[in-house]
Amino acid sequence: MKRVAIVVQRCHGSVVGGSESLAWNYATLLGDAYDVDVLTTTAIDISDWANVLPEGREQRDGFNIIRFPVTVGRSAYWGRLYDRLREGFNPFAVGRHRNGGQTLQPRWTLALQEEFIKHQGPYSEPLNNYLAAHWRDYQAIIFVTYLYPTTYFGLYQLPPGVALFAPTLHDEQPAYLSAFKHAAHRARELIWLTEAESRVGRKLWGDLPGRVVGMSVDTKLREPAPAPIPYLLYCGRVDPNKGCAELFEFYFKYKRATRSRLRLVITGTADMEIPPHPDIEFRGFVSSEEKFSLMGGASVFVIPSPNESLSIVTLEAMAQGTPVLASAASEVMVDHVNRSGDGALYRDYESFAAGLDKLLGKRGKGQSSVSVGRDYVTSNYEIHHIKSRLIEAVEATARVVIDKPLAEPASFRFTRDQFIERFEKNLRDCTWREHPLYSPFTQFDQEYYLAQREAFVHKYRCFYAVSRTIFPRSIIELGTCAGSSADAYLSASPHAKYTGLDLFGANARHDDGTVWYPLDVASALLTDRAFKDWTLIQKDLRMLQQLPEEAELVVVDAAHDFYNEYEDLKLALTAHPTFIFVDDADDDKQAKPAIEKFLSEDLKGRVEYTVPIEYLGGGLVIKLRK
Amino acid sequence: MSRIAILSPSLANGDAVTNDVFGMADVLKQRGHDVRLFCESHAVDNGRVFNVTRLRSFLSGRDDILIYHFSHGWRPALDLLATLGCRKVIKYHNITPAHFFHGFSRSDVELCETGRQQLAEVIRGGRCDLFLSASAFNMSELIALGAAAEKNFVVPPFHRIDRLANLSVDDRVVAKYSDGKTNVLAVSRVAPHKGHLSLLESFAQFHFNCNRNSRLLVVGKGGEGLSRYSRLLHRATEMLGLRDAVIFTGGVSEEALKAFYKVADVFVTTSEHEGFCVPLVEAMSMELPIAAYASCAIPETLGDAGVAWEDRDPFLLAETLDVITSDATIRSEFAARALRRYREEFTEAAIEKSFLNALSSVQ
Repeated sequence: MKRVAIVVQRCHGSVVGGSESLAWNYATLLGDAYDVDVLTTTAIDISDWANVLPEGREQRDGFNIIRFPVTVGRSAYWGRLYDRLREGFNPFAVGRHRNGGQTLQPRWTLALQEEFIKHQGPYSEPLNNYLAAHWRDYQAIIFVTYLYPTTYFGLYQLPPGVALFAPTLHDEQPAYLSAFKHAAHRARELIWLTEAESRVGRKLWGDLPGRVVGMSVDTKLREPAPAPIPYLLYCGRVDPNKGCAELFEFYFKYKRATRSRLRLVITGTADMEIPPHPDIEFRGFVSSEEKFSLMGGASVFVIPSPNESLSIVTLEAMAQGTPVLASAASEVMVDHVNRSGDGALYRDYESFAAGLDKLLGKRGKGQSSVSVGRDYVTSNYEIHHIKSRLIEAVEATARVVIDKPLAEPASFRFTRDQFIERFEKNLRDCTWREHPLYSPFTQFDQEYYLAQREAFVHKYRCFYAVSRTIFPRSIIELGTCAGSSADAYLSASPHAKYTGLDLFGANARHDDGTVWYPLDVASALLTDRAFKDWTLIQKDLRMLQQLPEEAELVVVDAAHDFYNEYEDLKLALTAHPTFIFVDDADDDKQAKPAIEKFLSEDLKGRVEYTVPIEYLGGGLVIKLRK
Repeated sequence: MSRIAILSPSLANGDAVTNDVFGMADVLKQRGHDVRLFCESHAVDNGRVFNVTRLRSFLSGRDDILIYHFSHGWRPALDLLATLGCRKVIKYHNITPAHFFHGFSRSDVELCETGRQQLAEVIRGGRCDLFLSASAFNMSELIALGAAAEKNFVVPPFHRIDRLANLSVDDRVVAKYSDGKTNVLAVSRVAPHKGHLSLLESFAQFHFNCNRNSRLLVVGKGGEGLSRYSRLLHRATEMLGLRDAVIFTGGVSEEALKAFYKVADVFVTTSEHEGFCVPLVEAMSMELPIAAYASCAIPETLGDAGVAWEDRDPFLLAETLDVITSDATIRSEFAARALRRYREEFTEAAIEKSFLNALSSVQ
């Protein structure tokens, strides 16, 4: 079975935490289809990340948990750094513009930010070493939650574009550290819990490839707790940061104003004083069955927290048919309420009271166990929905680990229409992005590419989609240059054996005049992408009579003059390809006549179909008959 | 197991030669050797240090080893090298050419001149079994003076980087200098051969032509008897209009030093004489991009981890600082190269390996 690893800062039955629950939820969802390893630390306590659990392997519910010791925990030193960081965040500090959009950008160097992240803990050198040594053993590695060094430094142990990353991102101070943004850009794909979270991601980190997966919710209906007097329910940590002080204030005000008998029932832990009142009942920790039953019996479930990345309890309450009254300060809650068409939002006391009136009146609790809120949860967060989305994300990582020869590609039997249909789908689904260091946008004449960035990104995505559609077992490229197109072809067909030929002539950088060696750049790029099977051969194509081996796809890059273009096309045939892809085919003066001559003379009667691909310069796919 | 004496004229916390002495001692002790440190004067907190007068009684056997750290003139060492019957190793840290100190410090001129004379004398005497040099640059000086090539090895100095990595940063430094200004960092002793005037000159070009929102942090203590040089630098700072943009920190704690590395955007050195340049390696380990003038051993130590110019051209260096600090891609590429070079060449493990390999030829 293929293996998947999930990396999370801690994992233990006694731990209650959003990201830890998410990691376990994903392990459970993937457990049928993959061998899942949860990679975590030996720590439980967030206050110091002390090593309290044994190192090594452990089995829990059929999953492997591999624990690594923490080498840097949390200390007073981190507290001092955090204080300094908060000073840096102070929007009213000297030299800052009060109304500037940049007030949350701390002025810390990356090195300093990393010091902060490392000492926040849990930092585990052995975990990093394990990831660096073993990432190839896994079909996918999913990093859960952005904040901790297990994820931050873990992402740097893999080459860019490999990891899946579920950041559980909130709009909070540390999220503005640019280090996290850079780390996020190393992931192949982001896994978001909600649309709202992905919007926060776009705001803080820019455009990133990703998909909303969510987390599965228990939707089984439970027997509602009997409620002779109606009650409002809150489940979670009672904490001013969770909006609880305001909740108590509004609740008392509402009772005074309406002379309502409405009770307030609370489960969870108390990190602030709960006002003593006969109508407030604090139950502390309760079993999940009791929690579901209380949810079912409540008239209204209230969620006052302004910072939520998903709010499982809200979804659980909705699934029990209970309407939700939520703080409109949380974008996620606004989404849940608006998209479900159920519940109400509040910004102040007036909207709190109005929302409560509306929900209490509408509900007439117990009369109907089916609600639009429940429909929203069952159609979006039920286990099989989340599972299939998560598996899709894992499969899309497509680091095909080959242990037997692959069968002939299906594309060999495509009709022209099928080819076009597949190509268009692959182009839409394309997650390829240029490498941050090695791409046309950083090469010696980068200004030319940067001036038309979008057009060029589209071009390389087309290369990706061509390769994905053909899915060849072998590729030869004539004119590899710095390997950017090789990167696109191989990202789409990572199992393929790739051979790149070029003279690899050096150029002077336009910006600083230093020498730019395309062979070095291409080697660094393909190494960093961790492609398995590639060879670069420095050869003058004009001196070649025959390609070194056969290939199912031969790519001919523009030679920019008739004679060389035509010779390259003829050379391509010596590899006995099934597909030839000609780049820069639209050049009317040189390439086009060469291609026409090639098609009409050399390939006479051998062409099954051709497909023009539209991008800057244009490409042409030629399918040959067997 | 041998008795090994490591000898240096003096030992002081934070000093590059002292770090090398302690690093060697640790490695040799771990291998079971009986190691003692000897000097004339010292100001170190850790470890036991013996006076040089007691060295002769410690090294009695022919297989015992004396390792002398040569960095300036010191007669007692010469006498020991000439008369002891044990194996003798010189670790050569280079000697600053005396002319740098003319007009600033007579005692330094003398130390350097006698150092050069004594080095020639030692090599002529032919009584040393092994020469370890911090760089190929240093080694070529020894060979030019007549040391047999086969007795010469390059062994980079042991350093304090592992210790720095585990220290807390001084958060006051963080608070003071993480204010959005571009921090250009120079770390070295404040002494005439370190090229501070060139540093101020190129920083002025950078500051006034490229980035007014920048400051230069000059970290390092002034040498004893070099107050004239310090005064000269302060006058130059005033004359260049940089009073508010240049900070001379003087000597700092290791916690503060680490903090300066962490708040810096780029490391710069314009030193005119270096036998190795340990701060370059410290900067590499901290993933700092580096810009430098290519004097003496600097290009050799730096490798591909930064930019080193043959021309001492302040405009060129200023532009380099600007490109590095304003282009995120270039900055991150240099940061990555810096760390890679550190990991490949200068970790304690790498230095230990080359040290033990060289030493095995006399054991």
